[in-house]
Amino acid sequence: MKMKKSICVLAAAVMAASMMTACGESDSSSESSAEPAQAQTQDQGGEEQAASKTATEMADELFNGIEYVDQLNPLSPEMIEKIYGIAADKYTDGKVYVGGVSTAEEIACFDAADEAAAADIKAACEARIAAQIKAVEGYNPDELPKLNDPVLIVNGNSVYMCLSNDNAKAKEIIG
Amino acid sequence: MNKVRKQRLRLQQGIISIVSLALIVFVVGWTINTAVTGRKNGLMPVSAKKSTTETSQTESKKKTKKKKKTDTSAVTDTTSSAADPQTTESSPDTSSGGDIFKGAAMKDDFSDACFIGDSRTVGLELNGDKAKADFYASQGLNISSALTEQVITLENGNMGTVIDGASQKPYSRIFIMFGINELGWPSPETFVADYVDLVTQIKAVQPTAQIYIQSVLPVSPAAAYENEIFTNENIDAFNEQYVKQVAAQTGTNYLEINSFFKDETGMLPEDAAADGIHFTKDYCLKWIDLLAYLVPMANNA
Repeated sequence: MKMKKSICVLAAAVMAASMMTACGESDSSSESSAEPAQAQTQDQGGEEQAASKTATEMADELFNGIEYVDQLNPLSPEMIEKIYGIAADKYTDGKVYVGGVSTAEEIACFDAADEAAAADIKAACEARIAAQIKAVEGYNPDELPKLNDPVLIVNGNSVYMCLSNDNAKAKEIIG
Repeated sequence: MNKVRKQRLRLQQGIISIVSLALIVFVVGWTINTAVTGRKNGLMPVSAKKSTTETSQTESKKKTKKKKKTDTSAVTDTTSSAADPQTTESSPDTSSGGDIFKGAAMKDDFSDACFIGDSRTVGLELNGDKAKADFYASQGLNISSALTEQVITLENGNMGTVIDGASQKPYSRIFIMFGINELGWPSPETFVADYVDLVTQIKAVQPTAQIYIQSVLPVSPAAAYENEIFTNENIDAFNEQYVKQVAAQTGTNYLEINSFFKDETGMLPEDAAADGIHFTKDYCLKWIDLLAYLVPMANNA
């Protein structure tokens, strides 16, 4: 009997606790909106937001947050080295999504091992874009706009590249 | 009367206890789930949103059971009789359930192989997961431009032709595919002549390699919307009349792989290529599996 009573009490407590948490709003955006005085550091906040995400998280967010025409798939570290020429020891975390060849859509995000590695990775991304421009210009010129105006952002030791039809959204995600 | 009341009370208490326990289990489960996946997504993990491409491969693997049977009837060896190629190809089991080659590439890293071709081969490089294989391919390349255009970045950093690329190191297996960009050419004889030239030059720089000329892969109906020349009737005829002829004239192996990718309507399935021509990852993996199955690495070692 006592056992049943304690179960009921426990259930009531858990239910009450869950109801209270459901009423709460822990969304960071609402927290920041409650403090307009911090708006002046919005850009800085964006950088902090980007830095708080790993390269993999950023790549996944760019993948999930933007509509792509092509079917993008992640590359293995070996394939990243083959396609981008970026060895695994250059970065602590990284993820690359590529499509087929029907579009130039691509995502590449890396947390470089250090500043020099970040510069190398950025250069490798630029080389990849240049090679893609050469590949599509006579074959699929419709893809040139996204290659000629790529989103390629370096934030500290992180390098983010996104080739899509929605640069505004990509920049918003990267912050 | 009292006994009945007591029984009813016990029953009520029992029901309340079960419901309470269920509630506790639910709330604890919900709490753990939201802690792991984030509140906004509730019970649905973020990764579930677009995970179809990543999971489809594993799902499809579960669908079919592999039959342990070696069927290399799709390989036509023309090396014995260059003038008269063997055209006896027993039709392969092309139904989706007949993927007897599924998973064959897991044991084959293709480190002894190179691939030469156009944009479809570029797609295979990107999505075939064979980092140790070499690919000498470029978008828009055709059999004539392959002979002259320097579209390949060589190991020394210079640019070269696909032949320059293929001559950089010894290979056991060389897979070639051209034809989709040449489908509408007014002179298919030029295609044959240039293809024979290419294969002859590759044989000269790779005298011990086995060269495999792959049939042109099929297209889905979406390709015909882009250009009416892209039909499977045209491709089948092109393979039969010209691609096979190249293999015969050069005494190389003809790989009839086209029919492995057709559905029951004789077309490439719609989901196999975003634009009807260039294979998705799933189909690139199927392609590489098929090659590993038809021409295993061990046979050439």
